[in-house]
Amino acid sequence: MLIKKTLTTVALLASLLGASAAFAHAHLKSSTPAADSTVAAPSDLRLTFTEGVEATFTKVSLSKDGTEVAIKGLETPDADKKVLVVTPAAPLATGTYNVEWHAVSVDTHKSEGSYSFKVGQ
Amino acid sequence: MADLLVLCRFLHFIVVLLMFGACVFRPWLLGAEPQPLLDRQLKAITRGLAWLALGSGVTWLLLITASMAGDWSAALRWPTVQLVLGKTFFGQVWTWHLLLNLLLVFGLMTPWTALRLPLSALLLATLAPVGHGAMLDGLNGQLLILNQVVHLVCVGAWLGGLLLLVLILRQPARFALEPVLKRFSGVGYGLVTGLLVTGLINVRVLTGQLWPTPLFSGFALILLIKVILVGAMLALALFNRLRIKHCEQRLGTLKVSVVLEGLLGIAAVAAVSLLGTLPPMVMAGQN
Repeated sequence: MLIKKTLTTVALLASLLGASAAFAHAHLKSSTPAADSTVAAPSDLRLTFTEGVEATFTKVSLSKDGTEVAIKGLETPDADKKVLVVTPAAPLATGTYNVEWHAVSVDTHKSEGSYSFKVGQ
Repeated sequence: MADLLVLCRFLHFIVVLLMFGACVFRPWLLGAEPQPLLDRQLKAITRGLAWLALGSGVTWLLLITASMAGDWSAALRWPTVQLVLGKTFFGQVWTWHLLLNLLLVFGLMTPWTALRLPLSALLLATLAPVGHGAMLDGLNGQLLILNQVVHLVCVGAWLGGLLLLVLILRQPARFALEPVLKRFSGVGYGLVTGLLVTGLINVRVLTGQLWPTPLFSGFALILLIKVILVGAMLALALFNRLRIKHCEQRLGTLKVSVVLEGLLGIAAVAAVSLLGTLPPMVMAGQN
């Protein structure tokens, strides 16, 4: 019993001490289009978080020069739920877009942030 | 909303931990033979705890629903609660957790005792994946959850064992105290080792450091308070272990110190309930 316990702990220690620093609460790691970039009209926005997010309760609002742009859907296609795909209802016209996100992570914590990008000719 | 969630988390954790520990220590400390009076008290306590667990478990679900939806009224909208249960990781774990809790409540109404321990153990294990345990994905995530299960088992056994010990000390004439206490402290060494090691692994993984800094703010401060509380519990345990001989003659002190140790444990769980809602690391410029 004790030996088994010791072995388990040693195995855990060994594997976990190697794990890279992680951040509870989802933070935005990267996005496509990237923040402050100018791009050709994308068909969707991809937000990559540091941990999985619950698409059902995560909110993203997209606005162009201050006016709200309709969004068709939010989903996390990957098993680890780290990439949030935001599909606008209509193709994005030229202009400056602001993305405001309120994420609920898989460990139930909330976080939020915003960034903007430009759609050029 | 966040304060209520911390309170509910605390209540639920403490109840489930105590229930598991009392169930697991009953045969360890006193063997299989029935102890009518003690068993009756224990059953009454466990029954109360099981109902309390069910109540706080459902409240937790409703509060999480409100928190996720960002709207108080969402807690009482069944479709939203259903979304949480069906579509989120928390909900999927919680469906099983509440189901197990319900089974335990019903199981305690029957004279059938065999299912009590496995059910309370499963109830405790399904607490591990919620909170920061769900933070990592893949194999590391599963190991972190396993680590958390071991941690909870050690903590629960210790606290529930103390509860049982208080019950035993209230009727000292019926039991030979010295062997019971020796058995308790023997198992205690294993439990303390287990909870310290798994606790340190948790800290290392959650914060990416051996000890989070800055030392006196947020996560690190509460962690420090928790560790001091656990340290005080250990000191009390050691104090009692060293004076185990002729313990019958100083029953008063023993009772007080066991109750005090239990209260320190409850305070430590309270601290951890708060920890579970704080970010272990704050990244500059983002929140």
